[in-house]
Amino acid sequence: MARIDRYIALALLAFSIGYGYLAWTHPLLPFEARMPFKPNTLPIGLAGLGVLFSSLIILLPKMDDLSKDAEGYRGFAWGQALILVAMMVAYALLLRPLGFIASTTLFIVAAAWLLGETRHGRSFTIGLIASGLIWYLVDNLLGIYLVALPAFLAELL
Amino acid sequence: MIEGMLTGLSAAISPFNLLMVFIGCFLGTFIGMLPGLGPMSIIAIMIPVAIQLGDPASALILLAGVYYGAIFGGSTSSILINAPGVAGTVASSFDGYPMARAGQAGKALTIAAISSFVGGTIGALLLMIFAPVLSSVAKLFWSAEYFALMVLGLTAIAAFAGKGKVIKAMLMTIFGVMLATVGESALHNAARFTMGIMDLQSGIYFVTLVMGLFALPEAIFLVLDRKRSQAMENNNKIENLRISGSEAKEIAPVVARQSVLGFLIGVLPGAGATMASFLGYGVERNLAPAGEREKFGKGSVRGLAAPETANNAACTGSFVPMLTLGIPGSGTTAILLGALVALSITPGPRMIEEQPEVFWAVIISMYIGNFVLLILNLPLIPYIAKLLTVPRYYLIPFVVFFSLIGAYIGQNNATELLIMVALGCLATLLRFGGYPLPPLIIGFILGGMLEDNLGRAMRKAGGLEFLWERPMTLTIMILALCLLIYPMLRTSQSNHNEPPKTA
Repeated sequence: MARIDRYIALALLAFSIGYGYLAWTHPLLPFEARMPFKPNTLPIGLAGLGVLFSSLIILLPKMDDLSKDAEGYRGFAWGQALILVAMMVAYALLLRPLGFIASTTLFIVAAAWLLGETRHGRSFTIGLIASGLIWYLVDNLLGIYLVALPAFLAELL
Repeated sequence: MIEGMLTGLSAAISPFNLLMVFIGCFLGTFIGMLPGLGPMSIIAIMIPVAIQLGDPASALILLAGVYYGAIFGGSTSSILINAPGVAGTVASSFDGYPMARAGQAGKALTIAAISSFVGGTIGALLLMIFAPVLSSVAKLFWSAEYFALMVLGLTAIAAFAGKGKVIKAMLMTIFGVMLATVGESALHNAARFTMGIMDLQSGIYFVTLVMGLFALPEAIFLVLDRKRSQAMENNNKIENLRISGSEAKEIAPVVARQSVLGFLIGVLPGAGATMASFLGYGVERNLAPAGEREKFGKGSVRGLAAPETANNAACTGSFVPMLTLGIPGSGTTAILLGALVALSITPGPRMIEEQPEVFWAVIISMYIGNFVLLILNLPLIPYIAKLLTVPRYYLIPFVVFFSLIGAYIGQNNATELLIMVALGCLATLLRFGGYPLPPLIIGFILGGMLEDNLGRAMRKAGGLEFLWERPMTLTIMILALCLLIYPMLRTSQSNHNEPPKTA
C-alpha cells in the first residue's frame, strides 16, 4: 500500500502518453493546421505537463508519508465495500427494467442487510416509503421523468 | 449599484427564494452533521435539483444555503460527539467537545451559533464591498490575463494542497483539465478524445464527475472504516443555552478579528474554511493572555469562537473570486460555478452589471441565511442532535442512493450511473494514494474557460508571445511559477535536513 501512489502515477503517465498520442494525431482541417491555436494545442501541452508531473512522482524520493495511513487500513471491510460497489452496478442495470420504486427498495433492503440491518420488514418499509417519496418529488414537483414501474407493467398500462 | 441591490433585495425576499434559503440551510445543517459527507458531496447531490429550478438566483441561493448550512451542521457534531461532519469544523472540536464533556454542551452550541452568525454576516458585508471593487478591476483584464489568472489560481490550489502533495495536486489539476477536453466544444469543429464512444460525444457530465469523485468515495470509506460511522453516543444533556456577560465580552474581540481574517483567507485561492479555522485557532491561542492560553484545548470559549467565526467568514470570502472573476478558489465554489454554467450564467466581472439580480440576491440571501441558521440552530438544536443517531446501515445506503439518483436525473441515462461508479472506484484509489481530489474538479470546471481564453489570446498575438509581451500577464505567470516552485523546494530541503521519521 505504501507505494500505491507511484503505481497510480505510472498509470497516469501511461494515460498522459496515450492522451498525447491522440492529441498529436488529432485530424486537423486544412485551415485549422495554419492557425496559431489548433484544437490540439492545449491537449499537447497538457500531455507534456502530465508526463512531467507523473514522472516527478515516480522519480523523486517519497514526499508524503503514506505508511502512517496504511496502518489505519487494517481491519478495513474490503469485502463489504466490494459487494456494495457490485450492488451499485446492479442497481444501475436494473433501474430501467424493474422501474425506480422496485429497484430502489431492493437496493436499500440489500445494502442495509449487507451493513447489518436484520429487520428486513423495517428496511423494506423504509425503502418503499423513501423511494415513493423521492419519485413523487422528482417526477411531479421537479418535473423530471422517472419510470416508476417495471417495464413490463408500464407496457401493460 | 443601489438599484442592483434593490432588485436583488426584492428577488431575495420573494417567498420562493426565502423558501430556498430555508430548505438549503436546513438540508445543509442536517447532512453536514452526519459524518463523512462533506459540503462538496452535499452540494453535488443538490445540483440536479437546483438546475431543475431553472432560475439561476434561486439555484445559487439554494446551493449557497446548503454550503453554509453544512459548515454550521458540521460544528454541531464536532461539539457534541467529537466527530466533525466536515473538515472545516475539525478545529471547533478542540475546545467545543471538552466543553460538552464538562456539561456545557448548550453553552458551546450557543457560542458556535453566534460566532458563526457574526462571521457569516460580517463576511457577507465584506463581500458586498469587495466584490464590486474587484470586478471593476477585473474588467481591465483581457483573455491573456484571464488565462494567466486561471493558471495562477490552479497552481495556488496545488501549492496549498499540503506538505509533499504539491506535485500530486498539480497532476490532478492537469488530469482534470484533460477530462474537460473530452467531447465537443464551442471552439472546435470536431469532438475530441471520444475514441468513438457515443456517450462521450457531449463530454463528461460534471454532476456525474462530482458525485463519482466526492460522494461515492465517502460512502465507500464509510463502509471500509467502521470507526467513521459507529453508533454515535450523544449523551450530552443540552440545557442552559445562555452565555454570561463576561464570556460575551471575552469572545467579542476574537469574533471581530476572525471575521475579517477568515474572510481574507477565504478569498485566497486554495485556502478555505479548513485553513481559516485552523489558522484562526492558532492566532487566537497566541494572542490570548497567558492564563487563558492554557485553557485552549480544555474548553476555552475563545478557542471555540475563533474557528467557528473564521470558517463561516471564509465560506463567504470564497465567493469573491468565484463571483467577480469567475475563477473558483476552492472545490466547493468550483462546484457552484459548474452549477451556474449549467444554468448558462457566466460568473465574472460583467455579472454584476448584466445580472445584478442574481449577484445581489445571492449576497442578500446570505444575511437571511445566517438568520435562518441562527433560528434553526438555537432552539432546535436538541431535536436536530437526535438525528445524529441514524444507524450506519441506513446512512450509507441512502448516501449511495442519493448520489446515484443525482447523476441519473441529470442525464436520464443508466450508462451515466456506470460511469459514475467507475469514477467512484478510481477516486477511492486516488485517495489511498494520497492524491487530493478538489484540484481535479477545479481543473475540470476551469478547463473549458482556460482553453477558451488561451485560444483567444493566441489568435490575437499570433502565438504564445502574449505571455511575455504583456507585463500584467507576465507578472501573474511569474507569480504562478513561484507559487509552484517554492513549496517544492521547501519540501525537498526539509527532507534532506530532517532524519526520516519511522512511523
